This record gives sequence, C-alpha cells and structure tokens, in this order.
Amino acid sequence: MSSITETASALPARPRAAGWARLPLWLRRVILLAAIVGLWQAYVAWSEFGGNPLLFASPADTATAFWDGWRDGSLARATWETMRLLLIGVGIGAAIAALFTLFASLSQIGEDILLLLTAILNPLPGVAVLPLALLWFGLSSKAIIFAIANATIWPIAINLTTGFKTVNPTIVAAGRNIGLKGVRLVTDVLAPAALPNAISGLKTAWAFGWRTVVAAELVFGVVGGEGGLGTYINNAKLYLFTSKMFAALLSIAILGVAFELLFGVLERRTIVRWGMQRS
Amino acid sequence: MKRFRLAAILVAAVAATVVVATSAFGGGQAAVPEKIVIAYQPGMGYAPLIIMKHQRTLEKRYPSLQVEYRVLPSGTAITNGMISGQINVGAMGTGPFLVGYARGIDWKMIAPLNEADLWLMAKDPNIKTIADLKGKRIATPTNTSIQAAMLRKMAEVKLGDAKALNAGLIAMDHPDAMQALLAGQIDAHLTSPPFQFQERNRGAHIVAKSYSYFGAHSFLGAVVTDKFYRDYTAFSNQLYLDVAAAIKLVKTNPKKVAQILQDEAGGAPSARQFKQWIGNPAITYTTRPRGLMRTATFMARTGQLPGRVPSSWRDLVFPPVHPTNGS
Repeated sequence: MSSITETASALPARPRAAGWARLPLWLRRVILLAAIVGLWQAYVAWSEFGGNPLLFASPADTATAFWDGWRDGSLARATWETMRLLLIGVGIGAAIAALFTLFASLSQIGEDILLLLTAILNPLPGVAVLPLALLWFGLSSKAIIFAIANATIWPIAINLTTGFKTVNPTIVAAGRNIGLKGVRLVTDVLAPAALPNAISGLKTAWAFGWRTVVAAELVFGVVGGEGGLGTYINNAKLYLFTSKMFAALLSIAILGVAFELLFGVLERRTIVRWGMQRS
Repeated sequence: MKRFRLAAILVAAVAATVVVATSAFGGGQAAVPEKIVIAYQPGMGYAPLIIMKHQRTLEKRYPSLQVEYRVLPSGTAITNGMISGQINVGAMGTGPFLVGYARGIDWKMIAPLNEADLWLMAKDPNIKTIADLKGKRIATPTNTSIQAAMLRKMAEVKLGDAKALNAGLIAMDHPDAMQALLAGQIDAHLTSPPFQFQERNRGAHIVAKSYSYFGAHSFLGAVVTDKFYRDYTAFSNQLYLDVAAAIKLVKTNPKKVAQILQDEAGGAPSARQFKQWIGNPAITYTTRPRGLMRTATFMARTGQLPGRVPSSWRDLVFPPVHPTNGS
C-alpha cells in the first residue's frame, strides 16, 4: 500500500529531472561518461572476473594501452590500413551504385534489375560473402575490398534511386523551362535535388562498410603483414593483451563518432545550407 | 596438577597438529573434482587423450566424476576457456602454452604428450628451399603456434632474419590450410601429423623439417593450472599416470590404438592408415618434455614471449614430470 503512495508521490519529482535537463549538454555527457568509467573501475575492483587482467582491462590499463598504441604507431598503422581498405571498398561500391542508378533511371528494365538485386543482396550481412570472396580473390585484401563493396553498393543504390524518383517535378519542370536537358538536367537539377538521399545513402554505406571491414579482418586473420584494426584485436587476443583489445575497441568507437561528426559537417555545409533539410 | 597441565598441553598440541595436517593435505591429496572438462584439438597428436576418452579411463576410476571431452579448433580457444575456468585440462602446442606462461597464467604441463617433426609443405614444384618462399603465402595455425616459431627458426637459419617470411604468414587451422594448399590458394603450409602425411599423399612435397633446424622438440602437452593442481594434487598425479599408460598402449598395441583413432574420428581415415601414421618417426609419443627451454628461449628472442621467461624446464611442468629427464 505504502509503496503505491510512494510511487504516486514520486511522480511530481519530475522537476529534478528538469534540473538535470537544464545542465548544458557537454556537462551532462561528461557526468555520464565519468559515471560509466566509475562503474567500470568498480567492476574491476570488486568482481573476480573483472579483477583478472587476462580477462578484463581496467580503465587505467586501457588508457595506457591506448596511449602507447597511438604513440608507437601500431594503432595508427592498423587504423590507416583499415581506413585504406574501407575507402577503396566504399569508393568502388559508390561508383558501381552510381552506374546502377543511372541505368535504373534510364530504363524500366534497369530499375527492375536493381530492385531485384537489392532485395536479394541488401539483407546479406557484409561478412557473409567473405568465404566466397576468399575463394574468388584468394587470401588477399582484394577479398575484403570485395566484401566492403558489396556491403556498400546496395544502400547507396537504394537511396540514390529514391532520391532521383522523389525530386519535386516542379523543379524539374523549371529546369526544363530554362532550357536544360540531358546531362545538364541531371548534373544541375536532379543530382543536387537528390543530394540529401545520396548523403544518407553514403552514411549508411559507410556504417555497413566499417562493420564489414573490422569483421572481415577478424575472420581473415593475416598474421604477419600489415593488418588493420581487426587483425590488431586478433593479435592482442593471441598474446593475451586484453588491455590492447580494449584500446582497439576504443579507437573504433572514437573513429565511429568522428565520422558521424564529419557527416554532420558535410550535411550542414550542403543540404542544410541549401535549405533542403533543417539542422 | 602441574604435570596434568603439561599433559593437557601435549594432548592439545598433538590434536592441533593432526587437525592442521588433515586440513592441509585432506583438501589436496584426496579430493576429486565433481566435474572435469578436458579439451583438445583435432589431430592424431592428441591420441593419448583420445585413448583415455575411448577407454573411459577416468569414468571407470572415479564413478561419481562427470567427465566431458571437448574438441576445440585452436590453442587460443582452449587458453581462453582455461583462463575463464570452463576448461580444467587443456591440451595444446608448446607455443600457446609458453605465451600463456609468459603473460602470467599460472599453469604448467601435467603431462607432455609427444614430440613431432613438423614439416613445411609446398605443392608448386618450383618451391624447393626456404629461399624460394620469400614473398610467398605460408599458412601456420596462429602467430603464437610452435609452427610459426619453427618457420621463424628456418628463416633465421636460411635467410639470416627470423622475420624474413613474416609478411606472407597467414593464420589458418590445419584442415583449412590443407585444402588451401592443395587448391593452390597458398604457397606453403607448416603443419603437423597427420596433415603433413595427408598433404604428401596428395601431391605436396616437403620443403623443410623442423628437426633439421631446431633439433627434436616437444609438440603437445596437457596443461592444468597451479590452482587445479593444488586443489586436486592426487587426482592430477593420477592423470599423469593415465596419460603415460595411454602412451604405453600406443607402443605396445598400435593396432588397437589405430582402431580407437578410427572409431573416434568417425570411421575415416582407416585404422590401417592410422597405424601407418603412428609408426612414422615424425611423431613420438612421450611424457618427457624435450627442448621446452630451447623453444622458450628462441620465442623470447624473436619477441613472441612478452613477459616472464622460465628459468628451467622444471618451471613448466608439475612434479610427476620432473623425473623424466626432460629439457
């Protein structure tokens, strides 16, 4: 009985949350982050599992491994290798997607083919094609690039097609009115109008590619040569450097946030400034 | 009165000694765990454990003991299982074992299983020597494996640099690498029995043998943690004897062992094939560790053992192995 009254009386406690909400965003984030690190440290200090450095790394160990890894260049090299594969893969993926979209916007059969292929291939997780890629391209980074390209073509193609299809007909008519046609109509009217979709497609593709490349490296497991972040994690696991595994995961998370911000800037500079999307 | 007090003190002292003695040794000497998980990997190198599994040695000796045998794909998987306490007895190559020791896992071998001459196999007839492998793709189980260490030794002897072949190293488990070698996807494979025998039968040739570069050396061992040994000392010592008995059976009755291996492998390869392989001098079953220190020193020198390096082979094995005159 009393607990019910307590719950009921707890409801007006909402203003306290308002107090929290009144804090600036950065302060709320800092406090939450500190709380997470505090919980992490507490887990390391008081749990048997967390206290075993072979199984679990403390915040301090992770920070040290992170600092050492970036200072001696090993994490930077691994990150660059991963980024290199990702850039090539997404580049190829985007180019093929653009061709597909062009074909699809020019003919009905092209659109049908694209829709069918997208329906079949888009739901496939990026790494699922890796064993096949290894068979076709051998044990080289080409196989990983193939897997990334496959993971990126379809989200970009879907978004571009949608973008082209949903361009406001009035704008197209206006373009025609001032004498634009053919390629100029595409580059000057259709492409800018479809830009919001293109950027969101690229964003999705980047996220898919990022997941695919790390997972592929984990499966692929090059031992000796230059490897990326997935290989870095694999090697750290092999030599039981749990703190290095944590440091690599931290790097991946930070890079993910960084790219999110980068896409934010890109959007502000283009589609938000042009008034196509509100900030 | 005084004498009575003295007697009382004496009695109390004796009683205390007895209590201390039983609590100190009672736990370690007599106890048998409720459940035991024994993990090994695919391959005939684990034959002594496969024989124990087949003959239900532990189940017969300890009727109340729950015994589980697990086959895992790599030494790393077994290492992880042992750190988190899900595996009690883990059988693995000397490479991951030494890396675990270096990184601070308190474990030792309760019974080495064998020594093996590990062959570097290639299919392309143009690959005749180590020098032909520069820039080629070579598969070993993992970077920490004994095979990877032996490849570094070969590179050091033939090419003057232990790292000379690193760029082409690829981590693959034995069955996958065998397929890849025969299909021409990789250029060479440093492997172990029986995979090296199978590869030779199917058209690959030997480029180098580990014994020629490193001398004879231990290959696999059954490992338990110091804590497990402390808690179940008598049980662990008996485990050593059981492994030794299984190894003796390999020598005295290879025909029967070959049949066991065929049964446990699900019918193929055939017992005849297994018998031939057991008799190959490339693999010798023994509980005597050989070259553990040589391996550790070499791996430490090439940067594969980040952490503590053992000072003697006795640091790496439990007391039952000490009388074997190991190295």
